[in-house]
Amino acid sequence: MNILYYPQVKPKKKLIKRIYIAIMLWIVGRAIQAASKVDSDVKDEFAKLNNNFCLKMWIWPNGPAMYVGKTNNGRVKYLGWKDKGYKPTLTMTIKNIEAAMLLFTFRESTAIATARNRLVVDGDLPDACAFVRILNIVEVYLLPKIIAKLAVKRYPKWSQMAPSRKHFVRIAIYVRAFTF
Amino acid sequence: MIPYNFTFLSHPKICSGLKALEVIPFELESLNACKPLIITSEKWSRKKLTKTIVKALYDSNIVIGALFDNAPARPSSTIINVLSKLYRERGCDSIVAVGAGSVVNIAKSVNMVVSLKTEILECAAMTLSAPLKPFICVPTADCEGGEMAAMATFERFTKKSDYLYPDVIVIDPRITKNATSEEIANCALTSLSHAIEACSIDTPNPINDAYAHTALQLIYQYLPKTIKKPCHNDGSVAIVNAAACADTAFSNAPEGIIHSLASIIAQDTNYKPGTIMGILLRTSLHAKLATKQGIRPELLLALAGIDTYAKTKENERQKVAYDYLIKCIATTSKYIPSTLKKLTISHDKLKEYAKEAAAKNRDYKEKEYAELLANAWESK
Amino acid sequence: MKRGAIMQLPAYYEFCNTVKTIVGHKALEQIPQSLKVINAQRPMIITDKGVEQAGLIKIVQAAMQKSKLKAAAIYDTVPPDSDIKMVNELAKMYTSKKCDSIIAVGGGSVLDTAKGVNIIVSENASDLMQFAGYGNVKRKLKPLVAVPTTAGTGSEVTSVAVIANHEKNIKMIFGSAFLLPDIAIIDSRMTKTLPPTITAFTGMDALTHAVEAYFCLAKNPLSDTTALAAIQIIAQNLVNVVKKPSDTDGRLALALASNLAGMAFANSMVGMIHNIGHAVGGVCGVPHGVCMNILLPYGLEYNMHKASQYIGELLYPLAGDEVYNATKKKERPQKTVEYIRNLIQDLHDATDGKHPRFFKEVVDKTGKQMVPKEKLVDIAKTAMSDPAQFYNPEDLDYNDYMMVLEAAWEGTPLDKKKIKKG
Repeated sequence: MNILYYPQVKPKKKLIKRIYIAIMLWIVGRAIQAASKVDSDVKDEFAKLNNNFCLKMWIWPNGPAMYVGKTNNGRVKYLGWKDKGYKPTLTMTIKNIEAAMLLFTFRESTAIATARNRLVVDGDLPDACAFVRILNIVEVYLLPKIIAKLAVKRYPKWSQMAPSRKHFVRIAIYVRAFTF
Repeated sequence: MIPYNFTFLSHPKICSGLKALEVIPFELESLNACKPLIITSEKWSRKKLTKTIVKALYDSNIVIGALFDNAPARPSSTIINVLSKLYRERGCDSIVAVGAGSVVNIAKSVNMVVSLKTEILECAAMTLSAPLKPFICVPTADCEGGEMAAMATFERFTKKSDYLYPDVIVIDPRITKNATSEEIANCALTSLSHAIEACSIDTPNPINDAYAHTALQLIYQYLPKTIKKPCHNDGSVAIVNAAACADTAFSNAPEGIIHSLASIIAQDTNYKPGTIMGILLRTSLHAKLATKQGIRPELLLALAGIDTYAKTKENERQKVAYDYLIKCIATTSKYIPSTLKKLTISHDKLKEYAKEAAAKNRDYKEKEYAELLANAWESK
Repeated sequence: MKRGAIMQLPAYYEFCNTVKTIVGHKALEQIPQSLKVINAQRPMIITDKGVEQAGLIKIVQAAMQKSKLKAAAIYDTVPPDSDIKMVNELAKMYTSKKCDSIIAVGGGSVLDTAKGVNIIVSENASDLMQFAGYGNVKRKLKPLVAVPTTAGTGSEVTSVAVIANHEKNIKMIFGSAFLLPDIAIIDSRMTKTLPPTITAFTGMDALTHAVEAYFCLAKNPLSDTTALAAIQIIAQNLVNVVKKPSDTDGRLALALASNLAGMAFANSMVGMIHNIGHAVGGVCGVPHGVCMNILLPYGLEYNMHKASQYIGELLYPLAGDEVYNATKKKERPQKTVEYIRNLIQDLHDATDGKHPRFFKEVVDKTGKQMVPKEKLVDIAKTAMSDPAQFYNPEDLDYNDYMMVLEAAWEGTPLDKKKIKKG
């Protein structure tokens, strides 16, 4: 038997999916930065976090990634996708690109993805709870109700988030996230 | 009744369902491995499963040391030596088996050889006392029983050791749905027999029962629709899950009479163990129902669920459990004959099988084996 | 999928249980042979003063002595909270006494300490921090035998260890399948002398593990069957054993149930009951089992609208088939809650009122109230930072936590109309 018939195989990359995830992470990162300026609940959540807070959300083992952190003066900033020597205090590692696709095409909500062990959360766990709350709020703003309901456990009722607030803040986030 | 003296071990981590294959790189990394030797058979590469596997490993840090898709129908020293050599020359650090039966037995045998650094027959004689190299089993639905258990079969010997459990079992619908109705039937009957034998011992225990009951529930619920439409995603995954649970239950209980006979007959003929087990199980249950001990009423709970169990009067549960089991076995009747006579087995051979079984598994007398075979010969 | 029969196969799940479990009235006697098979002969016993003073270490040593196995080292002062300083000290002792395995005899913190020690001695590490987080322990560690002395925490089947660094005021979490003990010994002698009050709330802890595993988001077929088995055993034995502590069959049954419940929750996680319970424990120092016991019915009420079918099914192992059959399907979930409340009341009566039913009546040894009403605000805020909430079927915000805590403080059922449904 000629073992050369069975060569070594180096698996390739899933380029299109990587690009999609990279874009989604960019959108989420920018939206979080914007929401931290225009939404009171997001502002409050971030205010409770230490100023050295730095989140890294990434796909194992080669990215793409999203870094979001607080600057020294307490401002929340989307830090980009490259590791520029950041010291994440909270890391959310999605185990593979397909798991990331399930999350970012909303076939699995954050809660379900966590329950299914699709991602591993490392670092300051109280901060993880705050971050998930922030993410939920941002998803409600970014996505139409029919999709947001798939992404979050409990879609806020009118009494919890008035439609006027939702629409106004949504516009503000979109403008801030995709412009300056 | 809680027995007061038992040991239980299940080793494999089960990853089952949507996009399960894609966890392989992460699981290998957590076992400190990144260069697997993938072993499968030509049947699966024809059905393009090898492409699916390689694609699932995209975007990871895995390098596939070699993807061997020519595993023969029966393991042999030659193939084990070739694969061990391939493993060593490519610098592999783990093994992934995609398939069932011989594919997995070959993979486990290769694992013993590369871990213990000696010939397979010497491995067979050794007592394993340390973990082998990381081994991931990706079962297809043509399981014959034992793939996900603490054992490996090579030629005529069966080696049992806790270290022969796979480290991870990955059950993915993209793999399991490639099954024929007959394969589903065989897999289900093997799992059913293993599960029932495991929880019908003299001193059952709640942990082993939990695994056996899981297998029974999954089979009862999913078999009818899966056997009609094997490519149904959910169904084939459920049947293979049942096989995984049944294999653990089987590994933690003494070998039953049905398994002993079926493995000998299957080895001697070309029939799948599931076919033989299905026939023997039907007969064995019928005989057991008539004894004082009877069938465990809890089997009804496992098969039919709480509502049915609670509704059934206590003194009727055994009979109803029997009816449910026969109904379950009957869903395979299109693919599995109901008696041994309908197979191409000579009646004269039955005595020989009974003798061989009695020599291999002394928990039962030759007379008991012979009686079961005799009853299973013709419909009783 | 129509939910007529029981089993629900999730779209994806993971299940891992690699611990060899040895159960019996004489299970301890199997330690020497179990260690021999994995080439270990010089075990270090790690335990705490409570266990040692209850005479349990002597029993372990006597059992081992029957096969001429002696501990190479014994350390019996593990504190109630596992600490990194202690872990380092123990690791030094392990190395200096040339040990090759660990036998951890005790509850959750003894087990966590032992797991931490095992990391250091197996990896020859000087800094435990580098292994913190998930998946950073990647190799098989030295043999670890877990001998639980309560029934219980289920820590003998969890792959997580929590170790505090009191100097830096942080808690480090270590998560890896390699942290799982090799062997768990379930022996009735280890819980035989457990006082009735501790038996009661550790039993309720195990019950909560099984119940939450059954209805939370990560439930799967194996965690379901193990959870149901655990619930049935606890329901049939807990009150009897509290009333008759010398019932060794009952003790063994409860220890086994705790192990089964541990297997279930280690794989399907827990939800708001543990979420809030951790917070109450952290803020007011209330024992974990007491918190679980009080919050259990509230967790069921809060999640009723999302998990009613599962909660209804729990009536069977809790109350038996007759009651289950006699209760209409729609009424079963509420009946389950009723049964849990009755169980708590029975335990309260069986312990002459010492087993608390609600937070208002939790007192310390001096009779001082441990959960003043003013502290509920702090507890709610702390609960918001506990990740166990991720696995709960329904979401919780600060107001929800306060609603549950106020009801659990008074001992009044939740007002279903006030529960926000997602």
